[in-house]
Amino acid sequence: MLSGKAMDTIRACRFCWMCRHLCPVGLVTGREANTPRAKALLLDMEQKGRELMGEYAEDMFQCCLCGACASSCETGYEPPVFIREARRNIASGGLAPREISDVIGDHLKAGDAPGAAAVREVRSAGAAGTADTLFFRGARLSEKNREMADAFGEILEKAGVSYLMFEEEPADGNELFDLIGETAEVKRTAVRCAEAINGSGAERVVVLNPSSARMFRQEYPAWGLELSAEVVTATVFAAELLKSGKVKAERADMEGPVTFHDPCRLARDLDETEAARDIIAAMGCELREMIQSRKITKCCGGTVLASHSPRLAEQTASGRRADADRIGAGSILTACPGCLSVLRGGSGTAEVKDIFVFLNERIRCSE
Amino acid sequence: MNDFMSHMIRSELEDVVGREHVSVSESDRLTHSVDYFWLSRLWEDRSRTMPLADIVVYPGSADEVSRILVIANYYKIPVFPWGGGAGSQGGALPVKGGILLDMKRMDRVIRFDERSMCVTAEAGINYMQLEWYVNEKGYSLMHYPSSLTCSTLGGFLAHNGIGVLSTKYGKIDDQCLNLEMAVPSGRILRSAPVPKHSSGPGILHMFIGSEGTLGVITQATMKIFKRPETRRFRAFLFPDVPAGLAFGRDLLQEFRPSIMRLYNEEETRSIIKSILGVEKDGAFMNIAVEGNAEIVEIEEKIALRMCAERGGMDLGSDYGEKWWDSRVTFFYPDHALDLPKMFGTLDTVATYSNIEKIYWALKETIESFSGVRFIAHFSHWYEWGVMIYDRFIIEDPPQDPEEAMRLHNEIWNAGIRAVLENGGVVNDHHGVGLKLGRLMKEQYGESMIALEALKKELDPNGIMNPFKLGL
Repeated sequence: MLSGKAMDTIRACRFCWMCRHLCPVGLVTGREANTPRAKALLLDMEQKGRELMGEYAEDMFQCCLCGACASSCETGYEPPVFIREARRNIASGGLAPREISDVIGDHLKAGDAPGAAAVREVRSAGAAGTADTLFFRGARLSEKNREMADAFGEILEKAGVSYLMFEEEPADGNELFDLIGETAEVKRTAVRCAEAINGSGAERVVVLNPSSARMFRQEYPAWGLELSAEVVTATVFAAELLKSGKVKAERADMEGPVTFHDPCRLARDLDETEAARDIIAAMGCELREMIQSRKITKCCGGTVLASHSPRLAEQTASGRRADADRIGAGSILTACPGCLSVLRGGSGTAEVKDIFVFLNERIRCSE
Repeated sequence: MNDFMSHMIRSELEDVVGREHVSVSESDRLTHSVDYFWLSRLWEDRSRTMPLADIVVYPGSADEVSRILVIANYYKIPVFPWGGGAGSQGGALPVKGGILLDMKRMDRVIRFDERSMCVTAEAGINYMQLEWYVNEKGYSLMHYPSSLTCSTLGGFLAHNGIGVLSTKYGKIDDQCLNLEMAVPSGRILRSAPVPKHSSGPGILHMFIGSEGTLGVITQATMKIFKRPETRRFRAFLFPDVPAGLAFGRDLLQEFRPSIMRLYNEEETRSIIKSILGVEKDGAFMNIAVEGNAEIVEIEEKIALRMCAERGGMDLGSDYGEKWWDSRVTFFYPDHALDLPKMFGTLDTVATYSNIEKIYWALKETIESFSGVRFIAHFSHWYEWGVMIYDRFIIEDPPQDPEEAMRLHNEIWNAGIRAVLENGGVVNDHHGVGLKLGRLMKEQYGESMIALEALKKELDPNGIMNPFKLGL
C-alpha cells in the first residue's frame, strides 16, 4: 500500500523529466531507471496490477534520497516520499536484495539495543555551572570518523563550553528511516533516542551529523516526539562561537582554493548553507564554489547507499569530486561525517577534509 | 528470436560493454517504453503495454557504439538510440523490439577550446550539465529549451531542437560545428571540422535531425557564447496577431532580439492572463534584447519606437521578466498539459507570406473537430519568416485508448495537411519521430528519395530506429 501523497506524487512524476539533471546516481550510472520519472513510472505500472516489486527492488535502493529532485520541482512534488514507501514495502515483503536486507538487519539490531541513557560531563576550563549542552555525535558514523567528533569536542572545550555526552549514544534512526521508511521499528528507535535526549536534562543538543539533526527537527515532531532541548547543528554552533569571539581562527595556509561540499540534509532539509561559509571566511580561505552548491548541492552518495552498494557510492562520490577538481579546488571541505567518509571513498585530486578538524587546527582561544 | 540466440547475442554485447552495462530486466525495458509522446503516455495510463526492447545496452564510448552496431547489423536486429527520452514525437520508442541503446553513460567533455569558442562532448551528456560546465568557465551554450534539464546533447541534435533564445543565437544546428556518427557498418563518420565551407554539401546537416535513423551521434562540437552583459525585457500588446507579426518581421530587419514571442488572442486570454496577469485583450508579445549594454540600449529604443509606430502598447519590463523567471514552470506537473487532456503541439515554420495563412487554416481545421481548443504563439523569428507554436487541447477525450488514438491521429493528419497546403513543414523543432513519419512523403513528394537513398546506403538492413522519420 502506498499513501495518498505517494500516489499523487507518482502520478505527477511518471511523465515528468525536469529534475534528472540533478540526480547524482542517475548522472554517474546513466541508467534511465535511476531517475525519479522511471521509479514513479514503475510504481504506477505496479499500481495498475503488474507484478513488478521483485523487478524494481534494487532500483528503488539505488537512490541517495538526497532530495535534489524535490528541491528543483517547481510544483513541490517530492519523489523521496514514494521511494521511501516503496522501500518499506519491499523490505516488509522480503524482497530486498541480500546485501540490503543485511544492512537493514544491522540497523534494526542497533535500534533495538537496550538504551543506555547515562551521560557524562566534559568540563571545559573556565566554564561555570552545570553543562546544559548535549553533544550528539551520531555514534555509528563518528566511530568511522572519530577525528571529526573529537575535533568538534576540542573546539567546544577551547571555547569554554562544557558539554554532556552519552556514554553509549542511542541510535537516532536516520539511516533506518532511509532504508525502510516510516515504520514501527523506526519510530521505536526514535522514541528511545528522544527519551534519552530529554532524560539528559540538556537545554540544547548540538548535533554533528546533519542527518540526525534533520530527524530531530523534522521527522520526530511529525511523529509526535518533542525534544525538550533546542536542536542546533554543529556548523551553526561553531560559526556562532567564531562570531561571538569565544574562539578565533588563524588564517589558513592553503595550497589552492577550497570548495565546500554542502551536505544534502544541511543545505536542503535544514536550509543551512551559510554557517559553513562563515567558518571558512573566518579562516581566511579562498572559497571557490562549485556550480552545484547550496540548495542544488550534488549528493556524494551518502552512507546508506555506501553500506549496501559500495561500488555505486564510490562512483557517486567520484562524480562529486570531479566537480571540485574541475574548478581547481585544492581541498573539499565538508561538515558531515557521512559525506566525509563517502567522499574519501571516491577518486579525485582535491583533498577531502572535515571542516571541524580543519578549524580546530587553526583555533586560538580568546583571552 | 529464439531463446538460445538471444543469449548468444546478449553475451556478444556483454563482451563489448561489460556485463553490468547490458540489461534484460523488465524494469529497464519498461522505463524505456514510454517517452513524452502523448500516445505512449496514454497507453501507459490505460494499463496497456507499449512495445518493449528485448535488451538495453549502455555503451561507454564511440568505439563501443560502433561494435554494438556491427553486431546488430549482422543479426539484423533493430537499434533504438535513447538520450533523455524526453521527446514528444515518439522518436526514441523501441517500437520493434531489439536493442535499446541508452547513451547517457557517454557524458564526458572531450575538449574545451576557448580560443575558438567551442566545446566538444560525448553525445550522452545531459545538456544542463554541459551548460553548467561552460558556465563555470564564464560562457554559455545559449540553448535554453524547456527540456534543457531533461535531454542530452545527442538527443537535441538528433531531432534538431531549438531554445527560447534562438532568434539571436540560432537553432541547435546553427550552434553545432561538427559531429561524429557511428553507422551500422561500424564506421564512425565525421562531418567537416567546420560548418561553413564550399567542400560539397554539408554532411553535418545530413546528420542533424536524422533522428537515429542513419546511425548514432556519438559526439559533437558546440559553439559557446560570451554571457551577455545585460538582458532586458519589454512586453507589448498589439491589437491582433497580424499587427504583431508585422512588427516582428520589421524588427528583424533592424536587429536580432534574443527572445520574441507573440501570443494569439486566445492564448493571451488564457495562459498569459493566468500566469503573467495580463488583463487586456489583444496579442501579447514579449521580447528580450541582450549583449553589450550600449548596443542593447539602442536596440530597446528602436523596438519601442517601432511598437508605437505600429499601434502597439508598451507594457514595460515586468511581464517579460516574470515570463523569464517562470518560463520552465509551465512544464512542471500541474502546470503543464497532462492526461486526462488530449493535446498536441503542431509547431511549424514558414515565410512571412505564408505564416498567417497557416495560422488561419490551422485554426479553422483544428476547431472543426468537436470540443477542441486551439491556442498559438509565434516565436523563433528569422529575416524571412517565423515559427508558429500552435496547440490543440481536448479537455475530455475518449476514454477508450484506441478511439483516442484514432482521434489524435486524425487531428494531426488534418492539421499537418493544412500546414503543408499553405507552405509550411511537418515540424519546426520537436522532430518527426513515430508521430509524424507518415506525413514526410507528403511534405517532400518525389524529393523524399534523397533521404531514402541516404538511409539505404548508410543503413542497408534498416536496423536504425525503424518506423521513425518516415524512413
